[in-house]
Amino acid sequence: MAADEITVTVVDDHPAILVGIEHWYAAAPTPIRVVASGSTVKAAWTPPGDSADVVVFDLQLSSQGAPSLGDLRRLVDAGRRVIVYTMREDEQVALTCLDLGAFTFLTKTEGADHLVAATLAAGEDRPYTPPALAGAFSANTRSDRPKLSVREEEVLVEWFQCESRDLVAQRLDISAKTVTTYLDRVRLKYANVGRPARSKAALMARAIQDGLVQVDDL
Amino acid sequence: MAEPLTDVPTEHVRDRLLHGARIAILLVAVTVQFGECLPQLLANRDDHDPWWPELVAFCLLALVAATAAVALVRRSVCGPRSRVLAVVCLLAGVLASVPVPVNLLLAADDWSFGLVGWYGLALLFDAPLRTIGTFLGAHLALTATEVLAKGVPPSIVTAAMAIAAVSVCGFQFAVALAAELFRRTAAAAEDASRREEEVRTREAIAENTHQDYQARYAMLQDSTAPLLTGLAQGTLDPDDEGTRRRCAIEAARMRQLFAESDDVADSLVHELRAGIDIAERHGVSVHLAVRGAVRDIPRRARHELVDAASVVLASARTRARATVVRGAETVRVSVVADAPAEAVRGLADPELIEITRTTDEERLWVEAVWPRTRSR
Repeated sequence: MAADEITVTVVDDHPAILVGIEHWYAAAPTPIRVVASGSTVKAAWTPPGDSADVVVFDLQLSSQGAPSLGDLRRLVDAGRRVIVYTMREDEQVALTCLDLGAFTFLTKTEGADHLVAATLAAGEDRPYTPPALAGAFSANTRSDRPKLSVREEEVLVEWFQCESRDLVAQRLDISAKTVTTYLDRVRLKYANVGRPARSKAALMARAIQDGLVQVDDL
Repeated sequence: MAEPLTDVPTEHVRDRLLHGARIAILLVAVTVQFGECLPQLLANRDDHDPWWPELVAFCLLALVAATAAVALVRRSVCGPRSRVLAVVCLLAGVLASVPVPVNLLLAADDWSFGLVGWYGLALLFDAPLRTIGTFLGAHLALTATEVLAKGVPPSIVTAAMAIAAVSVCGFQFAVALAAELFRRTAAAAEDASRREEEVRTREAIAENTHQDYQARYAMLQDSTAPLLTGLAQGTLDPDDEGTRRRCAIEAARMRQLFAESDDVADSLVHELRAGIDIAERHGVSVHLAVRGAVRDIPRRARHELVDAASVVLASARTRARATVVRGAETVRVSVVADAPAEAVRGLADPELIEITRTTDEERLWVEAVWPRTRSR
């Protein structure tokens, strides 16, 4: 295994999705290799899938009726970086996944543009907030919602609406890089609340290392 | 626009009735305590030794009266606290009758016997009849226990005691029964009042809806009719991109008008879907994402939001993303599409919403926010 290669286990019960994901990964700037795949979460627990850097996890496997939040929690508790990749659009599921410690939450409609970027970010423990997740943050009314600044709220809602960093930057008159910084900050605020998880701690550690947040901010 | 129609507080009808009844019962209790019991308490001072338990009990009951009065004035509902106070009354009753010799229990010297029941009624007025019955039963049982503990008096005295107990508690229970009837009547009155209110509301809504339809048909008259006339007379070319866009926009408006009469919980998204439908028929792939719970917005504002979105959707070439974000303070409808920037030129100047337009080489992004924050 090459040192800078990111390995992935894909848990999804649709073969076309797997082919699509492998195709997207092939065009990634950093090599990403799917080492295992399967229609149940077993693929992520047995070799060679058990040692992959990132797990791409379909929350709604057809073998089960309800979203498999239990499987997600067990993976997170074992220290795995999990990208939830799902048909589910609703914000409550997104927020619950994040609270459980999922690395990020991606809907299948936005997959093409964001899965590769999310996987690269996960491989480096850097935050990644796709638009659907930003929408869920934006509409969050839970009592444990982290306190966000006015600007952070604006960036979240605009990013959700237009899915384009450039348009958000133009709309709010800031640079595209600043848009990313705001999104990352919000993601870190979310990592800082709710149920503790190793993935959240890794995210925070990396952010401090990158100078995105200060230790005092926590 | 559907404004709040009337402000008749129907739910208050029942509350007002019950509040008055509660005040009346508390007044009875206080009058009994200070008009009848206080002289007796002072008379007992020379007859009973020790006298202080009676004084303490009297003060306790006065305190209960004050607490109940404060709660009544503040109109605070305090189920658990009322029950605690009722137990305090029972204990005060026991305390007050401790110095009273057995053959004077339930007679004039035992001033607390009737009073405790009145306070119980005043405190437990809201409680089910069962609770009031339990309270009066407990009061009787405590008194009976006291009689037994002090030694059963001659039968003629016991009989007099029984008569006193039955007449006092029986009367109080009858009042509780009347209160229950009263409550049911109040509930029925409230129900009738609400039904009447509903009828009035429905009438007013129907009236408003009708006016609104009239207004919107009139608006169609201004925009759709010239288009149709132009097509019919050949002054407008169906092959022209602009004409086709106008047709799509008018079709979306009409659909919105038809969608409006459907009775659905989420009218905003429902009407937006009508516009999406049109775009999809023209081969545009539209993705709709909605965040936040359904909330009420004025009909006029909803029209403006949906209209802004529909215009962009109708002008999209191949793909569009529509979103609805409903927060605590704002409702946002946004569409990003590969549409020409001039597409929004035909949009009427909105009154209640704020529209922001952002463009790059190939995309047009229109965001409509209600309520508007910037003044015009």
